[in-house]
Formats: sequence, C-alpha cells, structure tokens
Amino acid sequence: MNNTLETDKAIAAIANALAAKQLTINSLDDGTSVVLDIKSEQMLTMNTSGTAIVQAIENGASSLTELSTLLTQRFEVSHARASNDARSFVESVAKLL
Amino acid sequence: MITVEPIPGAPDACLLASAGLGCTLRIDGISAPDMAWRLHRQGQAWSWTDRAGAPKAIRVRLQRAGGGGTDESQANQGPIVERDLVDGHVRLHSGGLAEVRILAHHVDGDTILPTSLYLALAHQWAQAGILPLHAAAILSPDGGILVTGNKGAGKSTLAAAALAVGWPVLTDDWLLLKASENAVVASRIRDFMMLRDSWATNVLTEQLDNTRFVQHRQRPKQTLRFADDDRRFVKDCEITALWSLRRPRTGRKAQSLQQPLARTDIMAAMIEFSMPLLFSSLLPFERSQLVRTAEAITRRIPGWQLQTGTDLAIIPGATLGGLARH
Repeated sequence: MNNTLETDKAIAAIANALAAKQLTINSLDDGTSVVLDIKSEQMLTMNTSGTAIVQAIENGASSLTELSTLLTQRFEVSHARASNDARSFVESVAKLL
Repeated sequence: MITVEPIPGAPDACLLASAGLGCTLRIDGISAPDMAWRLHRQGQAWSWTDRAGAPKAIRVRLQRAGGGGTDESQANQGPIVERDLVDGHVRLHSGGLAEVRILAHHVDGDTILPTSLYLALAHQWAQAGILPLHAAAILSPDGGILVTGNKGAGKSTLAAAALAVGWPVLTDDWLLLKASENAVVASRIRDFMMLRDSWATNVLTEQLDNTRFVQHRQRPKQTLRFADDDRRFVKDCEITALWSLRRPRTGRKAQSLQQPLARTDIMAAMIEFSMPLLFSSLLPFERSQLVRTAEAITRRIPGWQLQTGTDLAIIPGATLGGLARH
C-alpha cells in the first residue's frame, strides 16, 4: 500500500513538472528521448520504454496500472515485470526533480 | 563566419550576418563599430549604459527573407520568458524579438559577449533553426569534427593539436550549426582562439612554425588571431563527426580513449552545450526549430565520447589520425 502511494506521488510529481514546463520531452524519431529539467538544467536520456512512460504521464496517465498496461501493450513484457519497471522508473525520475 | 554590417540611417543599430548559414539578425541599441570591436577584438570594454547610467535598451530580431524583421504584433503572440542573468536582464518572446538590458556592473572579460546578450542572439538564431554551440571544430582529411566539452575539457588543446598536424581549425569556442537537407554546416563566431598555459599547450605550440600566440596580460592564457588569408583557419565547414570531450577525474592518462555515443547522448550534448532554455517548452517555437536541427544532426553524424591523453601533445599526428579513423 505504501509502495503504491509512493509511486502515485512520484507520477503526480512528474505530471506537475511536465504541466509547469519544468520538464520537456525532446523526442527522437527512434522512440528515445532526452528529457530536460530546466530548473536544474539536468538532462535524462530515455530509452523507448522510459519515453513511453513520460509521454503517457504527459497525456494524463496517473496510476501505476495505466503505465504497466501501456508497457505490456507496447513491449513484450509480463504485467509483473512492467509494473516493477514502471514503479522503479517513475520513483527514480521523481527523486531528481 | 559572422560579419557586422552598419544600417544606413540607423547609427545605433547593426546587422549580424552569417552568409554561410543564410541568416541575418538586426540589433538595435548597439552600433556596428561597437559590435565589431567586441566580436573580433578581445577584452575592450565600452559602456553598456546610456549617459545617465541606465542600461541601454537592446533589441534583437531575426531578419526574415526579403529584409523584413519580426513585427511588433507578432512579437507579442508567443509566450514571454524573462531571465535575470549575472550581467543583464533578458526578455524573450517565443517566435518574436528578444530584448536585453546589460547591467552597469557588467565588466567585459574573456567571453565574447555578455551572457544576457548572447542568450538574446541565440534565441533569434534558434528561430532560424540555427544552433549556437559551445564547441570547437577542426577539419580532418575525412571531414569536419565537432568537439563539445565543458570549460577546461581540452577543446582548445585539441584545436592546437590539429594545427600542429596541419588540420585546419574553425574555432576553439562557440560556433553556429545548421542542418540542411544533405549536410550539417558549422560557422565560426569569433576570429581568434585562446589557449590556457599548460604542459600540453606548451608542447603543442612549440611544434607550430610561423604562429604567433600573444600572452594575455593578466591571465595565464595565450591568444592566436586568425588572419583572413591564413588557410589554416576556415570560416565554415561541413561536420561529419562529433567528439564529446570529458575531463578525466584524475590526471590525464597516457593514451586517449574513445567510445561510441548513442543518439540520445548526441542530442543531450546538443542541449547541454547550447542554451538549454531554448530546448524547453517555455519557448515552444524556438524549441521546435532546434529539436528539428538537433535530431537531423543525431541522424547524420556519428559521435564518440573522448578523453584525451598525453599522447595528443606528444604524438598529435598519430593520435588525431587514430581517433578520426573510427
């Protein structure tokens, strides 16, 4: 339960940073991207799954279930693995904000 | 290369033209002689304030094809970003003009222009898809090599090594990059290079005949001015590779090390070594233009991360040749 709360908070923090234009997703045509945090002038290079997750959050996804479902639909990965990966990804990105 | 041109009837304004990239900016508030002096000679100060001591109002705008600039209505359409920088205040209209006020306390130093004025110029170049980049560029027999890196990473030393082996140099500092249909072209901004005094630069400058570096009066640096007729210095060149220099955490190793960069790393270098603000959603028009340019660059040129070793100074020919062959 605590884990879910932490993850939801992390997703909300990323969503807020995107809405406030603190974060910008600069995508490449191969599905990867460089996410710029203009507040700290840090850059995060994202592979295709990382890019898919931040883009989904930008488009309104707000729960771990939505993100892991997206990953299972786009990539050949089990729901359990997708859920773990998405959780760990959003929590590490949120820590950098 | 950038040239400064006067505007008839407007003594307090000038044009900053880059023929190689097909782009001209109009600057109101700085005369052509003042701008030329600052760009092409180093360390000379002139007043950024008016007679009453207030910061002069400087406006920069991209000249559209046919000679027209951004009009006032257009200037107010996009979002506005304001920044208080160390040497001045900047107001950027996305898709429109840039306004700057240089603070009275600004003192001209080693950089070509105050940071705030440079941001305003970069904002306008971005609207034309031109990426200003803190990078050196050298011309190997196989094509131009863009060299990014933080201050002290070794860009100037690498440029000196290129000169020592007879490879032309575009610049050791800031440049402008543009991606066209078929090529990535770099154009230099300033007409001189600067070397910090060090073991490597001393070894390399000893290998240069007929080259007169001038010792800086107050700092441990040497300056080399590019003569117009000197073929060792080019004004524009096509770029075919990127080297991203990293400073070693401990002392320099004997051998230079190189490893390939992913496209995202090249894109990250384009953002890190230009002006990150121009890649943020705060300035949507400029960002869209620059992302297009940076993406084309990541598609067309391969990149390597590079840590130069002492071999660059001792055997520059073999070292540069080996690095460029990859």
